[in-house]
Amino acid sequence: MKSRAMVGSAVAYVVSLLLVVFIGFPLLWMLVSSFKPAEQLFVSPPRLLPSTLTLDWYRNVMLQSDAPTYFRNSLVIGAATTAICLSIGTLAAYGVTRFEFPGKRVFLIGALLSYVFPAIVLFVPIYMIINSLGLIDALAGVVIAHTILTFPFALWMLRSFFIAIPREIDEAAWVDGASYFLTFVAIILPLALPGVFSVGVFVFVLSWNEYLFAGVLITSGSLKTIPIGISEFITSFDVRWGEIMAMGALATMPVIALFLSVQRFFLRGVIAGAIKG
Amino acid sequence: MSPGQFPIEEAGSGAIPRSRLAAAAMFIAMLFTVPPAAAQELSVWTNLTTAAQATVIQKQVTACAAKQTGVSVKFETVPFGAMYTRLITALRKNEMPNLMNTLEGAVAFVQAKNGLVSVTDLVQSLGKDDFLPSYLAAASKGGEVWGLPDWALHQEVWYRKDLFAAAGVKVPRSWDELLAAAKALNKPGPDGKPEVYGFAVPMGRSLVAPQTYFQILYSAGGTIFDPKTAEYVFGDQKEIAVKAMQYMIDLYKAASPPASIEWSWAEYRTAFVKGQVAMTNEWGAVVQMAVEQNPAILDKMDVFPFPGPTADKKPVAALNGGYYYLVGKSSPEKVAASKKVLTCLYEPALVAERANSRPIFAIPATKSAFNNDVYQSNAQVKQFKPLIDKIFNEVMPSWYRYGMEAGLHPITGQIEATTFIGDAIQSAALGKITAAAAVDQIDQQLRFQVELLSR
Amino acid sequence: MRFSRQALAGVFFSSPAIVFLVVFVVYPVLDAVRLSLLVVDFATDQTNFVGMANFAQMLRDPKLVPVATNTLVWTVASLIGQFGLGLGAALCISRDVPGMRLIRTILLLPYVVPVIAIALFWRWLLDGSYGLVSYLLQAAALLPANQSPLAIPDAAMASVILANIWRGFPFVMISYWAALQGIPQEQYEAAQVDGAGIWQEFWYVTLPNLLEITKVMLILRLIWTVTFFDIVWLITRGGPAGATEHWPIWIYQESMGFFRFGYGAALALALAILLMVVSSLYFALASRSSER
Repeated sequence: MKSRAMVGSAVAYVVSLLLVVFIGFPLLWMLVSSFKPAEQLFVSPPRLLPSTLTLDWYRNVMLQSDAPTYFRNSLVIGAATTAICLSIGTLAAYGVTRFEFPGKRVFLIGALLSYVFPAIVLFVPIYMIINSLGLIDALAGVVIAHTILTFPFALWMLRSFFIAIPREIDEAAWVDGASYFLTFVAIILPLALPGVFSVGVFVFVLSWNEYLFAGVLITSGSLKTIPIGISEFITSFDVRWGEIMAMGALATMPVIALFLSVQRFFLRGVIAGAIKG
Repeated sequence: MSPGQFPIEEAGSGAIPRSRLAAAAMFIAMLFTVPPAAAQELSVWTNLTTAAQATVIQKQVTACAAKQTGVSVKFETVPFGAMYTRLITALRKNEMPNLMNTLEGAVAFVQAKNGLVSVTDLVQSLGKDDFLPSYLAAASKGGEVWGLPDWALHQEVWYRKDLFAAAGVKVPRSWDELLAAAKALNKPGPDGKPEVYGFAVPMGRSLVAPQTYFQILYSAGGTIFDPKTAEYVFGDQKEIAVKAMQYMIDLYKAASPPASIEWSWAEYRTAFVKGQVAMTNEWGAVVQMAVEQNPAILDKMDVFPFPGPTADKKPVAALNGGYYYLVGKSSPEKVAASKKVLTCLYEPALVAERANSRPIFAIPATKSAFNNDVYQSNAQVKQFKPLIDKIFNEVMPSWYRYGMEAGLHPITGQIEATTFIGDAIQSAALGKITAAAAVDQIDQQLRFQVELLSR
Repeated sequence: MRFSRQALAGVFFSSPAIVFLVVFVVYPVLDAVRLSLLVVDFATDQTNFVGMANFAQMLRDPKLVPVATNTLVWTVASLIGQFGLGLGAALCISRDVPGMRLIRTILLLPYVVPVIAIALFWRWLLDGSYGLVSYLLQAAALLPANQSPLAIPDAAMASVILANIWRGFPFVMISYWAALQGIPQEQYEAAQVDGAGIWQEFWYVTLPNLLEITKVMLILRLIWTVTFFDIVWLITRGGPAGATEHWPIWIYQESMGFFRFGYGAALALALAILLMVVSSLYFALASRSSER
């Protein structure tokens, strides 16, 4: 049925390009704006392309603010949060989808608890916990806070990806004498990779953009994160438009790079290869 | 051998005299309490996060601290969005920053929670007459001054001289004249659509709507608290309050872009700088904005104080504000060290340097700094000297900030952090409720809050 | 009690998560519950136990109905938009054809850009005089000159919903994409052998396989959207005249604006309880079909 596949692909291309226009156009505008000189940022009627370009905003961001430091800190926190969420999350997802145990339902529903409260409400008690651990003004403190915020949804999403993998596969392995843990690591986890990576991407992005906890738990300039950096361009009397657009554009780069490289783990072909291999 | 081994007897009896023992005891005690080489670390917060301002403060604070032995500085910029949460957690942990550089709203908040040390002594030692009285009054409570005024925020009407001349309009001295002038300055473009609006009336729900309304209210002498008796009077002055509210809405309908009902600072400044409005209440930031976005209008800008309701009386007050330096409660050593740092920071040249980190927008609140060479020789200050003099002499001497008409009051922070005033104003501007109903709404909520705060 | 080996295994695998939850989540939640039963005095920080008084006040508050309505509209419209757009996009990007890697990355970007930049940017797009969207609406005579949708109550709500759909759909898209990759190719081949067309393939093979992930995403996205504070606050601050004030903004004003922490906590707890009840019912119904 090659022709059907080709029709399908053609349709996919067309719709994708339409989507890219609808989604990408504002993004493109943002990117172009970050290169526009000040006097061209606000013109009526609005124009897309500037007549001249400027690197001033990027220069200000890189030189005046501590942008490289912010990027490094955000990266470390994001990576650590993702690692913790994914490790305890996949373990728990395996546990709840393969086995029955008393209190399982309570555990699952209870895991939603920190998710159903807006962050500002849980903020002070979480601050107190981290303070009692002596982790105020430390990257580790922010990692804990971010994990609290993201773990519920990570657990639930991972659970649904694991449920989609038939338990028969595990049982076959168990019959062959594999231990639970070995089955988990060597057989089930690879099958769940697309789901695991998608959850990982979102945990990372959530941590990357989180402002409230990062803003209050960190006080030293050397530990600040990107959202704090951006907010410093906004005082109650001034909004540094150009710098914000530039920094916003820069902030997407690492995630783009990460996502481009991680994409292949989502793809069916790779998974099929993993199973057969 | 311990002191106890020696019998303590009257002097002259041959045993160790009491005074000697006391001295010995003191000496021994000192050995154990003098920190070996420990530096006093002073934590310093500022809300001025933009690099231009923050670096100046950091440099000055570090240099001033270095003048004392063993004093070091931990400097932090705290974005305003995180300020209240940081303060709350600091108060809870009993770890107030030693020096804070912030707006009155935060001053009132921390003072109400007993987190500050009075700086009246510093005011005296630096010379009370040097400070503009209006700025001292705003930071006072219970007879004490709680913040040293650093630089002033000021709000006046910025206008386009050239557009005035072209329309034959003179500087208005009353509300009626202002409304007439605004209408006269409305100009349609070639396609019939409005090209220029007479007066921007921004009413962004958070902060901006109250800012616009209170500028008008204060010019007529309306206040929340009586400046002399500190009693709540907003509800008793309903007539003035409603008149001000109605005037604001009339001005909006007559001469402001329709979208201004939800404008914030960025929008109305851009509107002025790009030539879309001929007049707007503003704080001086348009100068820097014009430098960046439209230098052609720089020499076409001028200011006048927002007029009072009638031409025969000057406006009672403007809505201003300022940045202050506060001393947080701490150990006596740290407080003393902090105060020494402040004394050093208030060298007129240093005050001037801080104000110059944001010229025109920030004007020193002390006369010595205002007249200091460092301030006056700044390029933009020189360029706009007539305007700055006008502001310093006519706008800065008499001003209030919501709720602080009689000195510090925590209601200010709440008005700034909530939107109940903006809500009432926007509803009235949209025509959903009358101006009188809007004032009633505001009055009701204010009374409720004031009552809660004074328990 | 006798624990089977399997039950023990389940507990063992779940234990790191359980420990994390107990240590880091239970305390903050209990603290929020405690706070909702108190009134905190502003000046002295003294607390008074008032039982259900905060909740009673909430029920009497004139803001209750408008804010609840706004929250409902905001949530339902956002979810419909995000899921529709997300599923459609996922179906497209699932094809492993040249250039799709780049397209996928572009379509992910709205979720990656910091919310503050997005909010500022949408404010600019919707600006009455300098924004492209307003300009187009004015040119189409849908708006008067120099007017912005943000200044009109209903249009402001539509604007924030649109911004939220634009911003949030990649989450749905990527999750569906991951799930699509897990559908065994044999199922499609079997359907084709049975003579199924493209539409039938979608309806009888694709959709059923996506049911599980949809169930979870729906409830998670629901909770997330209902509690999402930033984007609305940053674009409209809840205005004009409260037209876009939803529940999180109300909580924020009470807690960080008026410093009525007890009342703010009560509002949050009321919402949390509602969400937990909805989630529990939902899962009770949903799990009947998924547990084997």
